[in-house]
Amino acid sequence: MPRSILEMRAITKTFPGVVALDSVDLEIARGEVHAVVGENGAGKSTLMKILSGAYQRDAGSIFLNGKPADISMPADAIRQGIGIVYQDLPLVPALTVLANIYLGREKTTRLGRIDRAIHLARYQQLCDSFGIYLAPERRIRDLSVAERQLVEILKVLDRDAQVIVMDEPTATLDQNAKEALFQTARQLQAAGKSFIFITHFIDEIFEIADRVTILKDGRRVDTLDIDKTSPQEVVAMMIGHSPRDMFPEKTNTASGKPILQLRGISVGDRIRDFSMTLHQGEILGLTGLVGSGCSDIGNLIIGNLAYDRGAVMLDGEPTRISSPYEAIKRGICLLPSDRKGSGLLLDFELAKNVSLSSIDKISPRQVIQFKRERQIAADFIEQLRIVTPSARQRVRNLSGGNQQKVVLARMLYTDARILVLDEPTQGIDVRAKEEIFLLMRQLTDQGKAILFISSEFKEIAGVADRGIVLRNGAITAALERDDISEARLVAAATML
Amino acid sequence: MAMKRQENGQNRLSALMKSLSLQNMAIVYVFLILCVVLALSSDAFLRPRNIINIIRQASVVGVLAIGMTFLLSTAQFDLAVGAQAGFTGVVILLLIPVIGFIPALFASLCIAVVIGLITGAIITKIGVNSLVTTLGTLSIIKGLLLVLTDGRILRGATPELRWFGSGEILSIPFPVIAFLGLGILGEFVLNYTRYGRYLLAIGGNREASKLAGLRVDEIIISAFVLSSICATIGGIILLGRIYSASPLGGVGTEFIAITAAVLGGTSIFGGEGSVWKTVVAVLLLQVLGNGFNLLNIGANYQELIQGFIMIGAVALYTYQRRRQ
Ligand SMILES: Nc1ncnc2c1ncn2[C@@H]1O[C@H](COP(=O)(O)OP(=O)(O)OP(=O)(O)O)[C@@H](O)[C@H]1O
Ligand SMILES: [Mg+2]
Repeated sequence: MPRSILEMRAITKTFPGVVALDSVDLEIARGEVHAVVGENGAGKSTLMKILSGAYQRDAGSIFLNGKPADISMPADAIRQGIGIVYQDLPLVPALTVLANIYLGREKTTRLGRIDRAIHLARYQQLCDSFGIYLAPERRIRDLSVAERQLVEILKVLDRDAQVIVMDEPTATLDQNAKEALFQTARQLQAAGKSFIFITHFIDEIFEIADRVTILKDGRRVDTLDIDKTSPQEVVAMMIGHSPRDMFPEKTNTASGKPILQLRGISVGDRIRDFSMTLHQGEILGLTGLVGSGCSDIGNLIIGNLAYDRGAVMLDGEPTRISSPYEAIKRGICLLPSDRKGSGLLLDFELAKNVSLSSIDKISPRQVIQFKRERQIAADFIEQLRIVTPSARQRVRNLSGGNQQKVVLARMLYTDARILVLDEPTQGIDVRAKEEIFLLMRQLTDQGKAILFISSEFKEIAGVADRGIVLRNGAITAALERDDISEARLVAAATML
Repeated sequence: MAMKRQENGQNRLSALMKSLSLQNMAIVYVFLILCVVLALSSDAFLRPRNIINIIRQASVVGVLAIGMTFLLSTAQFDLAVGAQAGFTGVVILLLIPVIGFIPALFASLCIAVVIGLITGAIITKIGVNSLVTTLGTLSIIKGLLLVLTDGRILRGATPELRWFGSGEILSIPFPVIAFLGLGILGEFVLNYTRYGRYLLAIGGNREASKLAGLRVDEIIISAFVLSSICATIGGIILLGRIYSASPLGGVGTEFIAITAAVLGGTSIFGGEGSVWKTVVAVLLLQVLGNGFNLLNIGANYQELIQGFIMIGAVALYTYQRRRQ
């Protein structure tokens, strides 16, 4: 039996104006976790879409178990043992776990009724053989993101996947869920399954992967054994020079006057008695596990979520902001965490996405100045280093991280003085993260205030001047500058 | 610098090529081909008189379709506009004896605004979807028509009213001016102004538009008001052309209006809209009918062929997009 279960050779793929992949090789051994890393737009997702049959390659070949594989549509890939765990999790919310796993492949009795008993038996066997447990009768809409991912994994396992592809599975997971996912991966690995694992968290690959392939600008830089490399080396290969310190220095000046205060806010039982003060010129971190209520705080600040009790004060004056429109008028802007659902107009040009919140700036007397709109977008493309053929590219065609930068650009263009950033670094590569943190610091130095919401404890610890930790909608810790550390944040968030 | 300029020129050329591509212009090409075929097979077709006539006949549906394009751009639609056009005629004829000509016109426009506001508010503030809401308003308006007319045809259009159907400015009939004028204005507003961008953005992603600070509900309501006003203008033209108002007048035109907007490439899922292509599509449908007359093909075939064209054009458009 050949050692490698999958080999992709000299894969090339171009899009109008973009060479996404330029003769890329990837070789996966049986039972290995193989990480693929690279900057935003390096071609990681494109490579996986070619493997899954979603995109057609221009050139190159794919071998499975040493034999040439013909993959020209998703069904081919599934049949030949390639399982993709999708990032946007295409499950039917109203159906149960069991129904979702067998959707479209139902076994029926002779009368045409769905034979639940057979499904259930198969499901139990599947779970048992891999040591996974998830109640088959729960509905997808009641599951957490992590549990949905598990359903996706079970789904591909049931189709006898040998290679399981996960494109940024941890981007939306918190610490606990990440651990659980890695645990599952290890069990499956022991059972001989291989993983292709894409991430922007370099420390994760040292935790879980056996080898790592680094892509840069559509080319493969190298494939390394994890034991024989270091995070510094991997990052250096990704970005082309050695990494700097990721976090900018925190300012030592005492923070300015309070501009936004929340006092005793309650929202049903989702948020209980929440208070905070955001000062001019500071980055206030707000963290907790997924579902702890951090996003709710962001939404209620901009008037997108009504609160039952408590008070909000802007510049010391009691205020009630009841819509995002009002919030922006008063200089408060939210960067939503769900970039596809509530951030972007996917079928609009990049430039139109950037200007959306500030169209009045480019349309004196109502008429839009298209040239100026594109110029502004071009400036942001340069400043945030967005990888795109032009300002007129549809956002749908950008890579995930570059899409995130577009939402960020929109927010920066509003001139808001209070920025609420909900998971702003989701899907963003290491270098861009570093740049965004630096940008955040520059903004606060200009006197703006930032509420930085994130479930990445390390980032909060590295960037925030002060930190608040939420758990089940209540504050469990408020940490000052000198107390803020990853360990303390984790402890307060999980109450261990 | 020189290179940059060349690059710029190339970009512009490729942008131009793209905007003339089959995918973007299918409806326009079909229209042009049809016109050439008709011009070759009948001398009468290209006569100015015939052309003006075609546009005039298309004007009622055309004005409705322009309003519908605005609604579709925000991912909404209104099934009651045809009935509303008929309703306008009845209201005006009933009001003229009571309050006079100008006040009656004014009142009909006020009613349009109110209908648009109510429909829009039910859809945005309460959250009933536009299919259910406008099926409801359609039924209400049809019911009102029957009640007000007692099922009979109302006559008695005054000369002033007839002017809206056949009056001319610089020897161009008023309906033609209204239709094409609104078309040009609509295209400008939808694709070149702030307000138009708001409409399209909301159609593209309502939640994202809201979080980006747009007054989503108010903007959607305003689109319903605009469409409602277009329906009333259509109704006034209709009344001026046929001099009477029947309890079923206008009912059904909303479907031709939607057909035309969709043929013109406006997405029923919002985010994309072109008023000028809607105008072309309305003309296409009208020319088809006109051509049948000239070629002595029974009008009965018109709807049949209209259906094929609709599905064919949209299928082509969708297929091209999916291949991208
Ligand atoms: N459908 C498409 N049409 C046009 N260009 C595309 C398309 N899909 C991807 N691209 C381009 O190909 C390049 C590689 O994109 P890809 O999504 O593979 O990047 P990635 O490595 O996954 O980045 P990220 O870390 O941001 O997710 C990018 O420049 C992107 O803009
Ligand atoms: Mg990607």
